Amino acid sequence: MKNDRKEELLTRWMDDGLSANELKELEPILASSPELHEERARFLHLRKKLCESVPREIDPPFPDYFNSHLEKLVKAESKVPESEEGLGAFTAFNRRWLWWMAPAVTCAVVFAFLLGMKSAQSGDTSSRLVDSGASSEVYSPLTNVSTQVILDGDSDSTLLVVEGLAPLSDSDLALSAGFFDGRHGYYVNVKETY
Amino acid sequence: MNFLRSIASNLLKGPLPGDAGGEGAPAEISDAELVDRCKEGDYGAFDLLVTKHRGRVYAMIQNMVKNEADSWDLAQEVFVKVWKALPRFESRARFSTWMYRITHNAVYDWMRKRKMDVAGDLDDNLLDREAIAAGAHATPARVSRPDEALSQGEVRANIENALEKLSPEHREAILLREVQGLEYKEIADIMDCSLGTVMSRLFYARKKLQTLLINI
Amino acid sequence: MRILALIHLALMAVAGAQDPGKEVIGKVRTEVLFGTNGSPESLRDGVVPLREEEVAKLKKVAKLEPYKTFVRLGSVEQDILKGYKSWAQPINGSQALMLTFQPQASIKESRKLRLDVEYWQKSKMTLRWDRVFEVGKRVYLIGPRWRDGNLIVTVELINLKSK
Repeated sequence: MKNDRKEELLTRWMDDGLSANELKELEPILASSPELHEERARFLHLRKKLCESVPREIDPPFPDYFNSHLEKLVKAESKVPESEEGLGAFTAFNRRWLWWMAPAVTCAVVFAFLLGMKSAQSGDTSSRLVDSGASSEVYSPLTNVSTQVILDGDSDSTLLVVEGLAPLSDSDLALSAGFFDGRHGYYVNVKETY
Repeated sequence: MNFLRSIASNLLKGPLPGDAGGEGAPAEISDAELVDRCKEGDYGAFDLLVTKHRGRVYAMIQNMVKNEADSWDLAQEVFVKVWKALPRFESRARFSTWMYRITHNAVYDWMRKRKMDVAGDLDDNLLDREAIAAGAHATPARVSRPDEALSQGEVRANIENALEKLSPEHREAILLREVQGLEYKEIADIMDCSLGTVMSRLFYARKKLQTLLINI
Repeated sequence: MRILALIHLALMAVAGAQDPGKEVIGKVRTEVLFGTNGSPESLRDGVVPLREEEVAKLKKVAKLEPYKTFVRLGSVEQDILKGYKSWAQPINGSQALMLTFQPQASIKESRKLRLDVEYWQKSKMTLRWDRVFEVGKRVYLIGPRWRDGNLIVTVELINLKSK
């Protein structure tokens, strides 16, 4: 019997998928290799374990968002290419951080105001909500990292205070090289990577 | 003394509320009918199709790609492609097989691109997501002793390990047949190969799995 | 005529090969600062003390208030490309602190850009920050400890290509 045919018959035999004639065709092979019966029994047991361990269906993380985001993508696909707000937002999509929310201890969306007030009780009119339109979102995949975003109304800058980062050592900063300004960076093609 | 006064409200950015949730995705409306509605431009019907099939698509991708982040993106990509290709879909064919075919192509394209990325002139350690990105799967190898009864978790880990040792083609054949329960002809259509090739892949993949999982 | 056709074909080939993702849409500067009570002289060459007004701003943060001296350890300017993720390495010779910038969407006002910024520490993506950056407005990430002080990473959108 040709190898291809043998492989086909054995595969279908494992699946109980042989006709009476095909079973007769396989009988000489089974007779000469009785261990095949044991192999089959072991495989059926393995298949059961496989089905128990490997899920047939897994709902993607944030399933509602999956659908709504997909709708945005679909609509964007049918838009004119150079839309003002299309800058990589959809076609170079990367929302990997979404499912890092689960293990993160703190994900902070913060609207904060006024730094450096001398008195907490004063009805100081310099307290004001600053830059509410530029809401920022911070995520960390590390459970020990927490963040706080602070907007400094006086100097119009933003500070992100991060707690829980591992300290760095001299060797990390390659101290022997000294600290000099210069061009050092590079680019990764988002579309290819993502 | 200067001190900061800040108000921080910890608002977890959660998923946007979906317009058409999965609940009540009616089993009585067939894929064929939903597809016909989609072809007429009914996005609601497509949303129902997505809800109905996203679990299996995502599972298929996740079982091949082993990275949640990439799986999510790829699943999105698959459904965008499904939407765009729907006008060309012939309703006589089975929708799920066709959808799996698109999934297969997306996964293999992703695998090819990953191979290209690693060949670039950038620091591989920096860009290797498996090594760097938090959340990437790293299933430890384990040598089993026959006299030890493996726990459920250990069985799962061993099986995942073993699947990863198969070639992508063998792994996919096993997943489509044993896990998704598809017929050989369907698998051949999805993997764009002959029936004989499917048989051969299943034959060798099963043999290899049995060798790797001898203690299960 | 034939030459014109060939030139036309060549131009078409070039146009096809141009990558629209490589369009530079802006520039960002990122720096690493250091707050310490120690002497800057021990930090080797290249450190630059900060201006007083910047020090005053940083000292408003409770965590940084105890430090007497603030210096700049490194600085880099990086183009922001439309379809690429930019990696910046503000300390020359060290990849312990890296940042990435990926544009998400432009804002109607020309001086603003929504960026996904990732902070990488020792080859681990530690933080992702999605915010709207405005030209000339610096943001500070109060980062990890080093020696007796604290490192601070700054990000500033220097310019944005006008539409």
